[in-house]
Amino acid sequence: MRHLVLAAALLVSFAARADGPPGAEEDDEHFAWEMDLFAGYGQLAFPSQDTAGVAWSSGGPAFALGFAYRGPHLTHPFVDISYIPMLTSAGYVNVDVPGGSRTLFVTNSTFALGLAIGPGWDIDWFRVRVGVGLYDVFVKTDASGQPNTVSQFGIGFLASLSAMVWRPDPFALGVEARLVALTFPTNGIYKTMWSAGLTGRWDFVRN
Amino acid sequence: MGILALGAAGCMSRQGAQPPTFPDGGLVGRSTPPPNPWSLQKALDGVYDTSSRFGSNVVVHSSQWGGVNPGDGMKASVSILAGDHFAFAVLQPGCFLDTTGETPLTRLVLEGYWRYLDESDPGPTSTGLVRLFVSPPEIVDYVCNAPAWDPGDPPGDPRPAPAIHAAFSGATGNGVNAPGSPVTVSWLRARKSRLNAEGRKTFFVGARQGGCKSSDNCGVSGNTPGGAILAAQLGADYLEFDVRLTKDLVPVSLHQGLFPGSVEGIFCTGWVEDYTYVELLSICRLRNGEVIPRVADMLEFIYTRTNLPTWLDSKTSDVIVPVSAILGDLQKRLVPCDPPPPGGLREGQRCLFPGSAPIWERGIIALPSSDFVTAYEQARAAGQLAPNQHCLVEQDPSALVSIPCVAWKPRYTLGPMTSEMQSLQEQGFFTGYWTINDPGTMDAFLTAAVPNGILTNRLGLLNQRFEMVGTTPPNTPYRVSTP
Repeated sequence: MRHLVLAAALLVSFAARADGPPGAEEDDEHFAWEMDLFAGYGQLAFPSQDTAGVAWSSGGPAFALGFAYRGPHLTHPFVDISYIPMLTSAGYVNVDVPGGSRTLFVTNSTFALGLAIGPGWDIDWFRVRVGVGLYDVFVKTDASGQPNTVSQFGIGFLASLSAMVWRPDPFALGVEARLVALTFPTNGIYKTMWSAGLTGRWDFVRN
Repeated sequence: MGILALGAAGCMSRQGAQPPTFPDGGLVGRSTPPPNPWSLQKALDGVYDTSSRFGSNVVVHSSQWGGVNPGDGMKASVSILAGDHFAFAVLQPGCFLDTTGETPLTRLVLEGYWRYLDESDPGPTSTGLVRLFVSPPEIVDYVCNAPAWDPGDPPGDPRPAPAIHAAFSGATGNGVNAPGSPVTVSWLRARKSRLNAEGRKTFFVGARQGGCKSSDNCGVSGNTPGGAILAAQLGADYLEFDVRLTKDLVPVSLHQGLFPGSVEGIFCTGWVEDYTYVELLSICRLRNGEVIPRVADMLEFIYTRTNLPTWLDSKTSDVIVPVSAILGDLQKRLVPCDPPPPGGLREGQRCLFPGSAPIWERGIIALPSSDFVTAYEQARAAGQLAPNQHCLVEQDPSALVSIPCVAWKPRYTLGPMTSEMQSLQEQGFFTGYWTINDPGTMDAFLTAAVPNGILTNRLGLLNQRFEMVGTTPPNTPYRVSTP
């Protein structure tokens, strides 16, 4: 069901682009290779967290590096490499151990590194991209000075919406909102993260 | 649009729900428990017909749990176990004086919840409240005016069973709504005996991971102490749970990895083996909020609060030695208390559940493949296993004989293997299958091979199917039965 909703959303996005005016840049260029950079703030969107008794820090700086090929076709393919912070917490944990219980100070953090590919569409100032890719979710725990890092690969979906508000050729600068949804084979989407910030584009090859 | 779609999809995930309860504890909350928790068994157990909700040929099963250690307290439950919708009801008994009529009358009420397991998430169409009143007065008197059971007494009710049969009437409801749909429960026949000619129990219902697997969303997670209590309430005779080792070599009970749906926690990712136990405690909870239990805690809970034997399903071969060490420690610390030990309990000792078998009969290490058999044999040769450590084999029955282990538990997809089953039974081994949840398959295997047991996630269903088509095996299995 959730995949049908996603597919329907993609179709609507596609139809919106097909009905809209062509991008100004497409009229006078045949193709371009572009590099995209994103920097902003990101955090966990779903599920929500119980903050009782724990010091929480939601999110942190988020980054992405992307490459795309724009040709005469209205759809452009892209590849996106991203760093997405999710959550950091610190707090005391009571642990029952042989001989009694003790209290430990524990810090935890989690973030994801992702590589996604997919189609994008330029609609005037706006850019919409959706993708699918591999996301490696990292968890760092530190219980009383004993750090441990664990990671787990999974499939994720990426959706982004940009507005390129300043476009000095061959560059463009704008704002971007991104959403990443992580999936697990038996459960579908189980975590989503959002990020928002500035994005820049550089057409490093074009004819 | 795509962003909206992803956000909406994320919100579709569902979480567990506790079974509905009566406001303010219901009538049972204002009643007194039966003086002898075993009196219900003789008074109520049987096969019944119901007028609604549960269908016909349902099993009424009473159970005892809770234990006799300080802070525990013996409790009794009555369950209705049905085939329709894989339904069950778990009810608590209470006796009270009804003064609403002309003559004050002692009444026995059963209150609790029902659940259909053919719907994987609880909702108003798949769960609700139940309130039943027991009749006739002779049965009520037998239960509510029984001589009080003392923790130093052997378990059971020494009185003969009542000469007449019980009946129940009351109502069921949907969701948290007050029960409003009338239901009557009428006696059909006594339950089949599971004792052979020697008077030993030879058919056993096995609970896989507890009374309810996590995906069935019963309000308790699989592989937890709460799941063990639910298993006892739903008519389990033995309990299988899974064992893994944390990074700091603490045996814990979890079936698979730290997968969404079975665990909660943003940081709870990967496998148990990736973390120390302290780290697991700090980042992971099971679906219904429980901590991932240590095997030592889990076993002590089960052995002191139920009479269930345990099959410890090794997920990696390196769990064998530490689990056996835990069993060895529990053998020393958990002692029978009926009658109490001379001089009382020593420091660190606790009472086993009344009437239950000793630890070495109740803690059986499962060996799922040849690698585990080899590791077990090496550990035994090195003197690393607890005295009288018992094992079961899931694949090659020749290992069962050569080690020897006490039970053979192949997966049912290999077929009934009737001749192998019967041959091993004649040699005194326990034979059973894992894991059958489908009524047709249960019937086929119960009739084709007459096994000692079947492991299932549908405890009520298996109890009900045994009453319908099952036969008690004639041979006494080797040291797996409870007294």
